[in-house]
Amino acid sequence: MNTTRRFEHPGLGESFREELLGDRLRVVLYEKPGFRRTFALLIARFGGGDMMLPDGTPIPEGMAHFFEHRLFTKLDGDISTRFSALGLSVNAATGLVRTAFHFTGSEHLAAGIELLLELVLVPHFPAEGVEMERQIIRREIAEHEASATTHLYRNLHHGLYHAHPVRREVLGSESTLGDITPTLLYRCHEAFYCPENLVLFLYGGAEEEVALRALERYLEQEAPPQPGRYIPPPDVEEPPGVVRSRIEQRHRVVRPHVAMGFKIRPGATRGRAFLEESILTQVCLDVTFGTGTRWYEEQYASGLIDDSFDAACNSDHGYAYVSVTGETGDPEGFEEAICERSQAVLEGGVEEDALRRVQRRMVGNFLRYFNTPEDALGLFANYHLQEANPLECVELARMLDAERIAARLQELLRLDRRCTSILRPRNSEDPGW
Amino acid sequence: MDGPGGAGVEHAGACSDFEHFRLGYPAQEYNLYVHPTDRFKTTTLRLYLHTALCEEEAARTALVPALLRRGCRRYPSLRAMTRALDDLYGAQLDADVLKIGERQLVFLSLDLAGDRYVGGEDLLPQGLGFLQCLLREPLGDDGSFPDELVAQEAAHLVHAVASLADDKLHYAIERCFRLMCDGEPFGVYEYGTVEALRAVTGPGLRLHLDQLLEASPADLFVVGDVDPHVTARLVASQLTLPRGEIRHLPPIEAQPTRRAVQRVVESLPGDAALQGELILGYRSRIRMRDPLAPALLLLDDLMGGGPSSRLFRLLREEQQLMYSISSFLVKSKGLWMVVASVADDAREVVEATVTRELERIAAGQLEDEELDTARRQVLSQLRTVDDAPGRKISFLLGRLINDRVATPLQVEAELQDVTRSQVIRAAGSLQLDTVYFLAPETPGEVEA
Repeated sequence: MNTTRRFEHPGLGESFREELLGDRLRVVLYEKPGFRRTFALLIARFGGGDMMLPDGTPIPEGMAHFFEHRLFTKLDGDISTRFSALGLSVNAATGLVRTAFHFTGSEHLAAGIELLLELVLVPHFPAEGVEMERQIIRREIAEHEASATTHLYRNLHHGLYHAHPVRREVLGSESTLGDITPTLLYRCHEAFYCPENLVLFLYGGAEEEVALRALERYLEQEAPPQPGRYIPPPDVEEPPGVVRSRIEQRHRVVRPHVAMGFKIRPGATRGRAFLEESILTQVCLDVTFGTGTRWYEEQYASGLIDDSFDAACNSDHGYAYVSVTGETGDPEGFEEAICERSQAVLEGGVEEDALRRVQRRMVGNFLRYFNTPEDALGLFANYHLQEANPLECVELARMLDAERIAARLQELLRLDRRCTSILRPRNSEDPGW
Repeated sequence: MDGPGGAGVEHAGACSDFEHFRLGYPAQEYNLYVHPTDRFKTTTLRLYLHTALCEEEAARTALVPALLRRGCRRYPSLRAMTRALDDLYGAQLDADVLKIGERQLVFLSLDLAGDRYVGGEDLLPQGLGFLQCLLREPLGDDGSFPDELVAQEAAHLVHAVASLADDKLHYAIERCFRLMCDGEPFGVYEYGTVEALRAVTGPGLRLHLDQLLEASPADLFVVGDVDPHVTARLVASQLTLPRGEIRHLPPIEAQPTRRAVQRVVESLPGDAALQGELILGYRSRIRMRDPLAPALLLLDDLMGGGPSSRLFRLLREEQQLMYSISSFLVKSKGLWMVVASVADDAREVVEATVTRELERIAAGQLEDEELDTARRQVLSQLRTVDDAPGRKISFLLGRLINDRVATPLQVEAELQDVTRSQVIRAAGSLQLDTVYFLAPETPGEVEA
């Protein structure tokens, strides 16, 4: 009753397989013989961007994150103690669309997997614990608010998006934390945490077959018998234009921080089209703003940009924008330089051999992922969740041509849909360092 | 002699799980360590030049890799460098300084695609040639880096050093090191000071590079699918350093604790955060080279290593005083640091709890179970060493600097052998030296 799909790249000597266990749980196994540690990553499709339960009950901001914290407490105390006793370190992180639970270790993998399933499938939310958690999360919010990045991106998202949940605070706020109750926690568990809503990734060298058998046993004997189903969040109506073209804030920063965003139409979301589009996007940003361009060298030499400069495409369920970020002494000059460069590329194209160079570079960059298990697992999980096979990266990059780059650049560099978020120093005093 | 064949190669046997060679032996010596493995898909080269960390030289040394990154005579611009790396199938170049114990190291790292994945090309000689150009044919002439480039890189580093204050936790840790180890080499920041960075000139920096190449102890590491002996001959002919008399670097000292605990509270201008960063700095005088070092590793994990550690349980889970609390060791120097983001009114509880728990452990209040957990956790972290080339290199480098060469498996065995009474002694050795609090200037104000 298990369905298996295999993925291979003989030239690389890499392969992995996906199993649908008991017709309920997707497991992606990536065996790395000879490696000493194994990484397990369990993804749940529930995040800070989820705004309502299937019956329409609103979900307060910060719910998925609060929920992730509370899952660690079981009847006999903090479940991470049981991971630690096995030599496994466990942690979790909540994003906009998903929550990730992961552990790493070099032994007791099967026992660890069972614990991981217990962690997400067995809820225990007594009222006292919920009160305590509010206090800890208040402290976490205070830490989060102290970071300049938090404010820079919050402002950018508020400038770019009218309604999309990317505007929501994953950690919530003082007022929304108060709306979280044990009852609501249980209802979220019921709605989102069932085997059908999870994907488990295993990457590494240890006892994966044993782990698989342990999983099957757990699913048969201990998982909730009723199959659940994933309720996709309703798509929010988001106009194509931005809210504001500029948002500034005073903050405790030494030099101004700038984040420019170009709001673009969310593109392909799955399969080879998704992989191809994300490679094409990387190539476009590299040939426009990368260190191999004359433009970069000139801006770097003039001191307008430095190593903090970066251009990337941020996207997830239902939103996408290009971000160009950095610290600079001259935010207006920075903004102007980015706009001029974008205009120049849109009109005059990129350097002639740019594509060939980037294609060659992608070979090494791709191979490098396999040097660090964390990076490799991140890459695989990222693409696999969108039903794309990252082993095809290099081959797909080879198929790109100048026309497609030119077309994609028109989609990416939307100067008419931009917002610039700037944090300026509160005062110009030297911090005394 | 620089030319091919002019440099000798001496195989010095195994060192940890690397093969050790002395190159240019005996006159122009530097070390090569090769770990042959087909587990990774790239070949990683890392060259380290060791210097003694000191106030006078830190800025100048930090600027050397910054200038090397900008280019060389063959690839005289960032663009030309990027293109050369692209031609090597996206080789990754990294050049920077790093502080280990009381040493400041300049490193140059080049990561090359494995030959079998790029149609059987022979990239190692090309990669070595690239490093040779960078080191031996730097930009500029007449014994000087171009003043303009030095000024640009100095300005970038000045910004980077000043912007450390944007990351309050990192800034607080560096400030605490500075105050705690004032007058000791360890108290020096590895990127120097703003004033010293601004004072560096083109000729002065070029002279400094020449001196580093001539006199600094140098180690080159290679991890990848290579033959050690073939690699050694290749490196000896392709990467020639103009070695002179090699400087001897002093061993790292573990100073005693000051008599009274130093307490410092500071604020950053304009900081209106809700809470501050508390750093407790302890001295143990147990350095990596000392027999109790493995016991100190277990103690660190047991106190502040993760969600099952004592501090996490007592301060976060039981009292909800903070979100983040952890501890870490400066292994080469025997320092133990506790780090927490807390409100002003929780500082005393944190300090009192750390003091009390250390006293309890020193008095023998230590469960076998928590010791076993700590041991498993530390062993598991140690096992990450074998799974990434950069970690393999860093592991051996750290052991070499501390004069305590071992394989990861030998260190595992040492950790297995740590006894309860050794952990108790390690706890007893810790003495509070400095308490640093980076307080908000106007606390309690919620930012808009």
